[in-house]
Amino acid sequence: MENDRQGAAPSADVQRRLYELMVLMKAADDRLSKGIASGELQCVYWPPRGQEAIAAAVGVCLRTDDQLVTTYRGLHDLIGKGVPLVEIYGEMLGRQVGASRGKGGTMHIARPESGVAMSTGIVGAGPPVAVGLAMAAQRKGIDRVTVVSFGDGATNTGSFHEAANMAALWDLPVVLLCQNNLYGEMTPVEHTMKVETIAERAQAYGMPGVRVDGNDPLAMVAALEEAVDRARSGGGPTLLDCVTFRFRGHYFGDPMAYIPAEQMAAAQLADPVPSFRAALASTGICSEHELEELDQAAVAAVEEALATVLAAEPASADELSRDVYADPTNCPV
Amino acid sequence: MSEFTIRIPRASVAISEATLVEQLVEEGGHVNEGEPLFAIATEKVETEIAAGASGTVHWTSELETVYEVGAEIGVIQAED
Ligand SMILES: Cc1ncc(C[n+]2csc(CCOP(=O)(O)OP(=O)(O)O)c2C)c(N)n1
Ligand SMILES: [Mg+2]
Repeated sequence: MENDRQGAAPSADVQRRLYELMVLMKAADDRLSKGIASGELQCVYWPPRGQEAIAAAVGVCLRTDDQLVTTYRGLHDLIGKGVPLVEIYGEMLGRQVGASRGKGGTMHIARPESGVAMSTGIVGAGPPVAVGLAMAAQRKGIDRVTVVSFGDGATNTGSFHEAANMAALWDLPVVLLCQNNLYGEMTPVEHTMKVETIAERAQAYGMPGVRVDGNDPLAMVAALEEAVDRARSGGGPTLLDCVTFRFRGHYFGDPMAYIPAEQMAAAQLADPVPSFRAALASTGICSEHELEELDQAAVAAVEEALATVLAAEPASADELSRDVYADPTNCPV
Repeated sequence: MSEFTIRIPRASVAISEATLVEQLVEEGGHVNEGEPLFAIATEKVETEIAAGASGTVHWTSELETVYEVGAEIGVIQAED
């Protein structure tokens, strides 16, 4: 099934919001990247630069109480779901202002107030957790939807298969959001799967599978809205195969020697942030002046958050034993 | 006068130390943000590191020495 922006385009306000989110995600990535590269900032980072349209759609299609489970490559998803930048940067840089008080780091960001249940560094670990969250909502009769974001590589794991099967079997309110950036670490998708698309895997479980242009925020909103509505109304899960690219490789500092130059050049032409900016200008939804204001506001928000984080205290030593046991003095052995 | 501390960057996820192999701006020389400032070697890969700020460069480091990631190796003093 191909999704090609069926239905009406989102309102001008929603389109503006999509760009606002995308440009904030890009500015947050640019500043971190510059800081890590020059030695100013010390942290590990798996950059989602290039995948912003997918996360912006998550931002406009979900309610705050809807749940998100994401991965180490989650900066954009977390921004989309409304986690404050101070808490994201704070966690990455090990400060007390971080979402997990600085002891979780880049791969372990959770924020229940924003509906972010978990981030994980274990490839394929998200879908079973999302199935549990969706099952809890179904049993309690809460109309909450869970979206789980993962990569193309994760769809080759056993845990993905188990989760997809259960989600379909029990018509659980979950959306399997695959951010298909065409590589798992240094290996291209065609070296790790016989099928051509990730979407077609859905057939085996008995759920709809939709391939979407993950660089087009309007196509993303159309596909995600449909999947979220299906989940919320009891229609069960959907697998979205959102085709995109990651411009900075697997980890920050990846020399990317394995990416063919022509592929990189083509991907850059389809870079979702400048492409959507140009589309908003040409459809007249935003004036050049408005777009410039949004660009500047994003950079200013990022600088302000970083200054707050750099002035904050590092994670304290008593975090080591906190949150480990509910009551460490009365722990059954 | 603001000062930017030059540090050994975490040029890739898994490194903990790097060898300073080249200072690309001489002591007391001027650099602009984004221009190449020094080169480090990690696991046989050499990487040029761009300046994080503009200004006059003062080195406090020795070439061919192994430094931990995050180690201070100089400063850039803003000229205004
Ligand atoms: C269970 C498990 N196996 C292997 C790894 C090492 N690993 C980290 S990221 C990654 C690639 C995952 O690729 P994909 O799912 O496409 O996500 P992307 O990094 O492209 O966003 C691998 C193999 C891991 N973290 N967990
Ligand atoms: Mg991938």
